[in-house]
Amino acid sequence: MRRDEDHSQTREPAWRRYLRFLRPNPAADLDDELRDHLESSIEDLVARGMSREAARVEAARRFGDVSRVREVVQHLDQRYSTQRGRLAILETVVQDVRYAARGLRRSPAFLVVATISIALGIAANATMFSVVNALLLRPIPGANADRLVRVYQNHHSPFQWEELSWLRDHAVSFDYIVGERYQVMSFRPATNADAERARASFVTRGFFPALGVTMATGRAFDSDDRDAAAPPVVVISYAFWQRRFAGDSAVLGRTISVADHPVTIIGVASPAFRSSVLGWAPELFIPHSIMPLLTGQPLAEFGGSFYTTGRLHRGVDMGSGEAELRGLARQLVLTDTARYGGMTVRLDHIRGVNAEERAGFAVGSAFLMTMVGLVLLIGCANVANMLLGRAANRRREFGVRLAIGANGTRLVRQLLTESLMIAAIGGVAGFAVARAITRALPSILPPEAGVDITFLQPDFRVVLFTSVLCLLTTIVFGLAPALRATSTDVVAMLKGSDARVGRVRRRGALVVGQAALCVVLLAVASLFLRSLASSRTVDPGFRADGVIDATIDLSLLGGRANPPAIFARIMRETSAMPSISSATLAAVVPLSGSNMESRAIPEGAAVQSDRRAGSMVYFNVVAPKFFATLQTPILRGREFAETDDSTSTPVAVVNETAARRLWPSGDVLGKRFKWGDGRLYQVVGIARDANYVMPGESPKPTIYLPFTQAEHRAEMTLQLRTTADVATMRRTIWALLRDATPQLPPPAVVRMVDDMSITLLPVRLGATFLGTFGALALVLAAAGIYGVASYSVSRRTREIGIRAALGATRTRIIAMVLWENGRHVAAGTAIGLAVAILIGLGLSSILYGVRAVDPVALGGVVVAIATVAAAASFGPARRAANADPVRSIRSE
Amino acid sequence: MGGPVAADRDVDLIQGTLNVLILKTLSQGPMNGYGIARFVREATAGGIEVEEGALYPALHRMEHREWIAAEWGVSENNRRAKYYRLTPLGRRMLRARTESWERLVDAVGKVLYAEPRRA
Repeated sequence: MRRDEDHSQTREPAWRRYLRFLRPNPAADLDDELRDHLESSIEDLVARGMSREAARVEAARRFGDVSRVREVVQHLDQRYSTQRGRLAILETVVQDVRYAARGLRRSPAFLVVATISIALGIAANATMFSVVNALLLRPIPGANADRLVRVYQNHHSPFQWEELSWLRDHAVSFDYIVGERYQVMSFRPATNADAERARASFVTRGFFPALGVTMATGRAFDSDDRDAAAPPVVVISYAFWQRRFAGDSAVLGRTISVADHPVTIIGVASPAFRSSVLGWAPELFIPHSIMPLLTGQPLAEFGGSFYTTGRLHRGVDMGSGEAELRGLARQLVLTDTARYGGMTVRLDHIRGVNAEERAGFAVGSAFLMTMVGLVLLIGCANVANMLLGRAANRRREFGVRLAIGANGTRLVRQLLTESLMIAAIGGVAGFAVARAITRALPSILPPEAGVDITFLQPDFRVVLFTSVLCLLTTIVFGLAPALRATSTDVVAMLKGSDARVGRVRRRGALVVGQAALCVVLLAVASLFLRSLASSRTVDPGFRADGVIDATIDLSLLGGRANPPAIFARIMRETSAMPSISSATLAAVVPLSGSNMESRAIPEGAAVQSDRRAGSMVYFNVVAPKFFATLQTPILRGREFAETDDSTSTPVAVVNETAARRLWPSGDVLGKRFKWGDGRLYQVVGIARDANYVMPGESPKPTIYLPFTQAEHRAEMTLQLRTTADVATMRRTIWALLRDATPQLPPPAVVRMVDDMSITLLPVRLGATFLGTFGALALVLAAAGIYGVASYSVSRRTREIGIRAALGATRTRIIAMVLWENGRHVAAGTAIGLAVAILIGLGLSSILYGVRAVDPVALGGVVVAIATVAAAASFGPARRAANADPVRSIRSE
Repeated sequence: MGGPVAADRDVDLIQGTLNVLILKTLSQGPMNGYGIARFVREATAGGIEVEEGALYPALHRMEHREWIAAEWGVSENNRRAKYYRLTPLGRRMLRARTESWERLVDAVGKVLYAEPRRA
């Protein structure tokens, strides 16, 4: 019977038919099925004598609505096939996981070494990322971050009280604008108890609600507390409650003393909350309205010290919020241009540290993240290496499976599943280690540092990061071996023959890469270690041992204090103490992280009223006996004396470099220079050069001025040379200050060497982290080199046997094996050194006393890697040399 | 029985019946969709008039449930045709359905033809 041409409209193009061979096409199948039905029906009817035309009408009638049937059946098919697809995927995944688990269980040594390799790398990465996350990415802990923004003046400055209150009172785009000002206060748990230092934050109205912070117990401030006349109240931090009051709930309503004023505790903030500024950990939250009462200073005198946070009104974006505040700032400027001139406002996300610190942390984080990335890469190379070895041993298994029709893709997927399981186990273990490390970190910092790093604990971002990292590592170490394992010639695989040199060469490349990465890490770490060591041995030009520092900030007393008189009294009394051999004051403790710079113009120098006249010099403002206390020799002339007071001629001591810089010729003693305060200072002494900003720095021109003559400073550090220990001195100094200025919070009393340690913090942290990473890298690389050596020895059993049979000595065979790995390690080391030198050049600004091409550091690294490589290859080499040649030759 | 084909929901009874009919038909041997329709029509001598299109949702559903299996073949007229056959599961289903149908008929029959109670 002829084909009915009418149906040609449903005929599919030929190519689609072929598509069916590739995958089922349910829609076309259904069309075919229905067409067959209708045509069979027509043929049947025609056979019974119906006309073709009538038969078609009848068949259609009997069938019913074709398009509807098609629609229903298609829908049904789809539903079932999605269901089935899901089930099928689940089923294969379960199968793959089972298969992988079985494979891994059969080779526990591989499993352990591989997962440890990955776990170490992941642990290092997760730890570093926890730090990066906390410092740069995460909103401040304990607060409700929704719609919260930081409000800065200009780029990243805090606000003065008037500015803050102006913005707060007029802005409509914000539900809240609140400020926080951090300050150490004197605190007594009871009015008659000894004074202690307490970290306090003055907070403006609505602080806790703005940040979404609840109270663990008690209540937050309410509007009545803002009244300056109301009885003063305070909220304490959870940690302070636990530490100082043992979590006693009777603390509510208790009266403590802050700055010698009775204050009532009304609440304890929630445990997770620290501050609106990351890194601050205030113990007392005090309404700003009682600042004048507690400090004796009017609010207007605190300057720009309120770090400001806003909660945007729902539906307002940052752009419009910022625009409104800028408009308000312009209005404020108009009211008093002299006072507020140039003020503008910037909104910023509340993420991690404040904006001014962000760039520095970002650079450091990027650097350290790169370094831990290298550790992970080395670990990945190890696993890839082992997987290649495993694949070689399983060639026959794969060959059989491929030959009996296993799907190549499926095989790759199974091998990747295995890799993923290794990565997952390593990832979980690594994450656990990272969590433990970040928990332990805060306890390493001394509590008096007052820096809070309890916020480092990993959150969901770290989990996410770790998971992504695991996936990436799986691809890095697993994909290539999996593809190679399954893409080879089935026949060759079945025969079990393996004449592939390429495989060995590839593993050689792995060794080169590992050695290079390892050398980079070790070299950079050793630069930091060397720098740390040299900063310890370097002579700073003064002796910090035996000096104890107490930083006294009289500005905390406000306008009621007379700093010169108080300082003079403190000097007098400390000098008289028998345990103190020498006492002085300094505005800046050398090498403590801060410094001052200004311009000195030698008298008689070409006076062109030009800003370029004279020299920029570092300077310090000090009391008599500064040089005696720090034991910096005065080379000529004298140092300051009691007689250099506000009524006598202004005098100065200059260091050798400043003397040379300002007066290249002639006798410097008696010369005069013009200072920023408009006065002429006469040089009465020349001191030996001493370090000021960084240990081991090239000598900086430095000028010393007496604190009685130079512009007076309210904050000075009392420096005492004493044989007493810190605890004793702390008690002595506190007692002394309590008599001199009862309102002053007890100052921090530390050894000068501890004060100085802050300048070394980046180097110390770098040395610690990188030293750890370097050690990890070395261990991992050793494992990798060992693996490759064992593998190549096992591959060359027969060759080595023949060599031995032909008379090669044991030494020769050992040397041969060592050399094979050695040349790869050497190549990697060369590459690594080149990279390390480049990195070293980039780090020169924070490394003291070492150059990027430091022969000791780099030489040490070469020795280390060479030793480890030789040790790692030696075992396999000896095994090769000891093998019985006859058995070896037969072995394949 | 000319109900709407698409109404997947309100044809439970019809569907159940249709399923049994299809299974029974296929117990004779493999058949394409039209063959099944014709068999049902002829076996019931027009007693049950099924709209033929209604077979297909039932066929596909049973195929997915693996009561029946399908195979593509070529018809006498050289068309691509799909032939259904009973699976062991389908055979069991047919047996079960037949039994329950018989019980139902029996029960309903007992009620319809019950003698008035003597007591």
